[in-house]
Amino acid sequence: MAALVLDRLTKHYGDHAAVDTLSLTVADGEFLVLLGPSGCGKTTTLRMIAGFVEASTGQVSLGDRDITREPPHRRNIGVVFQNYALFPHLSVFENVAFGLRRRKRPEAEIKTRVARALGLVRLDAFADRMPKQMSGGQQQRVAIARALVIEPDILLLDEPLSALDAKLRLEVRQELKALQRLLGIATILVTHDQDEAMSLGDRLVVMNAGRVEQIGSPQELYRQPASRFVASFIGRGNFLEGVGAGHRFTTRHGWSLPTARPVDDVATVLIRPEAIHLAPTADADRVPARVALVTYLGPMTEVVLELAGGDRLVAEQASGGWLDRVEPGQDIGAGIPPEAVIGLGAEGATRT
Amino acid sequence: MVTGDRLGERFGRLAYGGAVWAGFGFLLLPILLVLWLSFFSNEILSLPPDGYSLRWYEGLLTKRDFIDGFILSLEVAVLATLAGLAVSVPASLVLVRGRFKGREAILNFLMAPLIVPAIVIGAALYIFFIQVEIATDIPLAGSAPGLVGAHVLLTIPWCIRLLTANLVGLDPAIEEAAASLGARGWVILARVTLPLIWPGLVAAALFAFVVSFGNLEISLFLVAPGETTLPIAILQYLEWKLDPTIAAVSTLQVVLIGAGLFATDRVVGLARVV
Ligand SMILES: Nc1ncnc2c1ncn2[C@@H]1O[C@H](COP(=O)(O)OP(=O)(O)O)[C@@H](O)[C@H]1O
Ligand SMILES: [Mg+2]
Repeated sequence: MAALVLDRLTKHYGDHAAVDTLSLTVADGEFLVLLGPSGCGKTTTLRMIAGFVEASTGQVSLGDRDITREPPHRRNIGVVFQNYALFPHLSVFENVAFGLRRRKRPEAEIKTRVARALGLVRLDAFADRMPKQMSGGQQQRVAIARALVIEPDILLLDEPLSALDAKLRLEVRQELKALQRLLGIATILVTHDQDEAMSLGDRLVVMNAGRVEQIGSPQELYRQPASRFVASFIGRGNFLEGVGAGHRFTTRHGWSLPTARPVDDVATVLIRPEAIHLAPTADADRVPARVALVTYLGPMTEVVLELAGGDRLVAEQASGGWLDRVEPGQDIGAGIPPEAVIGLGAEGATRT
Repeated sequence: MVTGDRLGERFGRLAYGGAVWAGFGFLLLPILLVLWLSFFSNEILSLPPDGYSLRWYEGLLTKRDFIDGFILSLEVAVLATLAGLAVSVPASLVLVRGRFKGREAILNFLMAPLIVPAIVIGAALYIFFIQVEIATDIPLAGSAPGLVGAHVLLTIPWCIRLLTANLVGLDPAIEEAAASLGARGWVILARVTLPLIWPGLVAAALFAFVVSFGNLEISLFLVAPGETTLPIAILQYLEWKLDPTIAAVSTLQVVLIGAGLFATDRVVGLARVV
């Protein structure tokens, strides 16, 4: 059974829809990531699931329980906030014990469960500390333990890593992922960071202006983005405008290139930089291109290309060999396999 | 040029320091003077004093007016403080958290007793109470509930000010976290919100107590005939005697309130909450 189902969930603020008929399902044990730019409705979605804001219309179900009108304290949902939101007046132990005390568990059980939860986040030795005496990363781990100890039906995290500095962020990210796998708890994490989303999520939900743009695995979203919005939000890409017909796409500048899938009615295609194969000379499979700019990135080299018609492409290829010696102004060849040319639908429309 | 600037800066700093100390002096001198006077042995004030004694403090023990006044003031102030907090805690929560039409208006309304002169409040309430009594036969003027109710008006603005200042700094996510962990509304209030605004709560109680305890103007209109609060007792005594008894009463009052401030500072750190 699905752990959580959102059915046409909507939240209006005045006549502005912060979240607009959003439907999705979280499977048992699944790690789902809500990804989108600031203001697209991620937090509002999460807060409706937690019960902090009331849905205008639509339904939230936890297992087979309709919880749309349940107050937060009866939902059994673990929530982790961006700024930790620990109880500053309580020790780490009491912070974690809070949910168990509300459930009137016997003292002995509280002791063992809190100790186990703190062990999971490797903070066994910190039970007597006050939150103020801990680093940001430690505080966030306490918050995670506090949310997990109640054995929630689902775990919600709203940008839990964004208050941490870069190094800690990676560390806590790995830990979070390992913990989620270990416990097999259905999880929704909100972020605007695509790296974080790609590395954590079993599935990603890309949101834009209160709506779902696309739902899929990181690979699906990267390889088959449904829209230019998704394509530009996940990874980098070259976007070429023009007209498609059958298996051929012709850019505005008149460059015509073959595609693996039919591109009828397609006005924009995406080519990922690393899908372009560079060679020192043009040949049957490689169009002539002039190097405009070379950027050495260590393992990869990024080359900006100008094509005869005026199209510009950014290509990225493993460094080494002739590529290390390439210079701006030089003429080389750029090969674009037909399957690397991805037709994009109009904004918001799903196309596969 | 450089020296001129330095001189100017130095002069500015001196002037600033001077102004600060002058301000302090202006505030403290009368209090210190009262303190000094209360130990004079002569009945008619004159400088220098004939000698020093504790007779005015001893005399207080036999003056029923002052003792009864002190007890009534204490009772009224405690009740008005508790009632003020009972109203102000929920009001502050709503005013800080809520985003609704009329929020500003309600806030200003609750703060109004700070702006309206107390004598006007006293007179207005007196007239109002009399009207109510004429209409309903409920004797409010001269009754204990009437007097305490009027003092609650004084304590509310102070409580609201201090509590809202504390609540603004409280991250609502902390309360939401408590809710998600299974705490219902009143449990959140008791276990999370109130403990976190505890310093504001203590300071609010203290300030409310002090304004109520020291109030003369409102009580003057509303005490029952024959009853007096401490400030009224002082006023009545002054009408026909001018010996250092008043200075002794005032000194005791200052000491009492000073001790309250000191204790509060010890418990919560006043600089942090006011
Ligand atoms: N309490 C509120 N009142 C009015 N508008 C709100 C409120 N909360 C959020 N919004 C609006 O809803 C939209 C989505 O906000 P939010 O869910 O916080 O986005 P995100 O978390 O993706 O950055 C934004 O346009 C925001 O201004
Ligand atoms: Mg947000």
